[in-house]
Amino acid sequence: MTRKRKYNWRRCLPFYLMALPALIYIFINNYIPMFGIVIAFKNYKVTKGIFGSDWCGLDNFQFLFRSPDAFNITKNTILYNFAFIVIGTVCAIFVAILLNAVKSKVSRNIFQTLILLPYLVSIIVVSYVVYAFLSPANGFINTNLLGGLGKAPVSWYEEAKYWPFILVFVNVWKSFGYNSIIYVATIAGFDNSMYEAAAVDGATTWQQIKRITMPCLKPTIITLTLMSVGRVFFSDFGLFYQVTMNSGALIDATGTIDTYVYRGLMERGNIGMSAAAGFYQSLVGFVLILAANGITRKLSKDNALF
Amino acid sequence: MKRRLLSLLLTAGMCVGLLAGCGGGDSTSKGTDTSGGNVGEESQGTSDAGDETDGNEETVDLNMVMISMGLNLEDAGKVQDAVNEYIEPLIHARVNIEWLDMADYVNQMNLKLTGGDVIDVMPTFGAMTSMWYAQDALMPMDELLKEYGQGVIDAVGENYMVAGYINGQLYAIPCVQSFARTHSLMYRKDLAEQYELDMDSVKTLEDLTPIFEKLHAADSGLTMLVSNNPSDPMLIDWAWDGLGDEYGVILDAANSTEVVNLFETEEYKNLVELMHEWYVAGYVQTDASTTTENMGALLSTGTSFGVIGFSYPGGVEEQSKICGYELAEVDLVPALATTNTISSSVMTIPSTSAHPEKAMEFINLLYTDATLTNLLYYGIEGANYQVVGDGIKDYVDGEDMTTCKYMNPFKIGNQLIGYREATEPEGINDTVKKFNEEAAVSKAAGFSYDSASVANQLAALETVAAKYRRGLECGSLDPATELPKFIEELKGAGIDDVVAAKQEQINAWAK
Repeated sequence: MTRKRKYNWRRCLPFYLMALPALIYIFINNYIPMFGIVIAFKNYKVTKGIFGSDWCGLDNFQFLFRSPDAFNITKNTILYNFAFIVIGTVCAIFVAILLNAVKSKVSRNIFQTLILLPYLVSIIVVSYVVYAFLSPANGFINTNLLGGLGKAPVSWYEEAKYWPFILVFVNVWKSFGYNSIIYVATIAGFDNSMYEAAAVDGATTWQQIKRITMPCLKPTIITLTLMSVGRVFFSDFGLFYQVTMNSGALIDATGTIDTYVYRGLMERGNIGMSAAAGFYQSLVGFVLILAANGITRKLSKDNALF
Repeated sequence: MKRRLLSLLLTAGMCVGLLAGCGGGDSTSKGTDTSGGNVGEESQGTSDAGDETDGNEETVDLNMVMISMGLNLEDAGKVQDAVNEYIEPLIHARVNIEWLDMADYVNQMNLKLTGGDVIDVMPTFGAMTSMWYAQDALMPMDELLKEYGQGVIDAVGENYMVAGYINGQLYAIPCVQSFARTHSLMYRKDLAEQYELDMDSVKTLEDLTPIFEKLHAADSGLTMLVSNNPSDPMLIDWAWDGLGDEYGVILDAANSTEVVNLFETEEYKNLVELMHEWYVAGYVQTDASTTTENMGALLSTGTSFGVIGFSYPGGVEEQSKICGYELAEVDLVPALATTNTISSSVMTIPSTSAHPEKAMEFINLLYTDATLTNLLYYGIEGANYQVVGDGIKDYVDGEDMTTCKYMNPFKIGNQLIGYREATEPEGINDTVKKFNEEAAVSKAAGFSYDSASVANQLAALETVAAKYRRGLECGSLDPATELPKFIEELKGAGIDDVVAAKQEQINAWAK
């Protein structure tokens, strides 16, 4: 028994070493700054420093809840993120299965690189690509599509009702390539004999996907979803602020907690209130992860993260 | 299964970690890059307590921040050496200048100040002063000014010096420039001449309607008004004293200190109704409320007639250069000096300063010494600029703003004692002086309100204003339906509390 444990430890050592840089990074950047949480409860003054400033209880949190927009921004943040998770996951798996069906290695690599490209493009650039389509005066859609069909142009940046679709589309377009990488890797690791056996038994491709690929992917899907559930209270700031060109008329449909905090506090630099907002988001995210994991554990114990 | 999951997780975690790591590295390297060629801090070092000074007084090192505009600053290190060579015999101090880019100046300074970095001299602008005051990041300067800053008082003038006071203490010294602001229509001279527009008849915003009508009838492809500054509301601080953030303003600022909610007033309603009328008639740029282009770029397209916005001496010449058309302007409101316009850029001493006395001596020099001013503004004579004629600076032969190795357009201290640029109109320094002397001064000039008690309301108000203001003031929103909604949401966010707080503070201050 002891021998075996030692052997295991030694076998794992290279992996721990491989993980070390990331662990150090996470420790320095994610754990050490956690002490800063106290700022959320303080009336921060430069001269007194982080630990010397006076406590102010929950005052810093007030602005998040007393605003008439509080409900709206919370709703937007959560609904958008759930749409991103669900639609994003479906697209990623779909693409991963398609990619896996491509037998030629060269073309598979080409496809994979191509769909990854949007993920690597800066959100600022993306916002101008979107603008090239939607600009009211010179945009592709207004001049070429609607103009060609003889329809009246739409002031895209003034009409809030279109934006839930536009933002979901942009987000999925930007991220599906990256999201599918892990699924592609997982599918590639499946034992090929399962598919061969199925083919011998006369299973169609659809049946193979439904009966073999999907069940085998389940743990990966659950893991990745659980990880994103923790972020549903955070929004992709670039997407909601830059891609909408910070247009005031869209705020009801596109305002999220992060853009609200940015608009409200950027000009004033109140780091106590900013820290409070961040702490609140993390806390809710933490609770959501625990809840989601708890539900997973109830339904299928093997797939829970912890 | 669990083990597979764990390894998957670790792999995923590592990928994310590495990617994030790259990202982090990127952003830091960008941070130093933007400071513009690194500015010879290394060469400076902290060598020396008084190695070449003549004696008893020890030379101290001051840390100073300057604002760069993303232009070439290759020679900044040499300029710093020259500055030190010049000031060391005068005040026994040397400066380490750190250049921060305008674009992320606020963020960078926030990090430095909250991180407790030692900074002795810091220019700030706009609402930053009161923001950092609220965080106790600024040092009161009354005593220092009395002892070391007589030149500063003479240069700024007692009546404008008041703008640097917050709660009865001096925290900021206004940079000497045009202290008052007026709003004007800047327009293309060639079009006005071609269509024989009577621009002299224009005295107010309403007077523009017939002009636009005539021009529109003559050439319907023209846009009469384009957006002025994408980050500000179109009518920002129009004819009122906005008292900082414009939530609660003084309408008749030259004669009264009554604070009102601007957006409920008849005046504001009339303005936005006029803008909407123009918008519907097709005079205003259709995407004025969302564009991210600045006015120079918008005017340069050749299909735009004009822009309304802050006017200041030399502004027309500057914009003409940028857009490539000759511009002229007519004023639309009388000039008014408010706390905001007087202290639009100021010099401060952060509370983290290690040598506040020396810092004040240095600031005093900034406001009184033409040699130092020219060094900081234009660099080294002969290498970065040459003097052509009486007190006129031009680029050295064969160079222009793209090749000059020291470009510092954010002019701190006293703008009226240095050379004038060859592109600036003749006698600009006297024009500015006269403009400052003649402008109406708001009765609330010198009053800065302490926003701490209404911080929650302000955070909520920013979002409401972002939702409506630009749309209303660019005319794309119909005030008949949207203005009441705007007012209602402002009330929900607590604008009345802010107005009341301002009124209360201003009453106490006026006593």
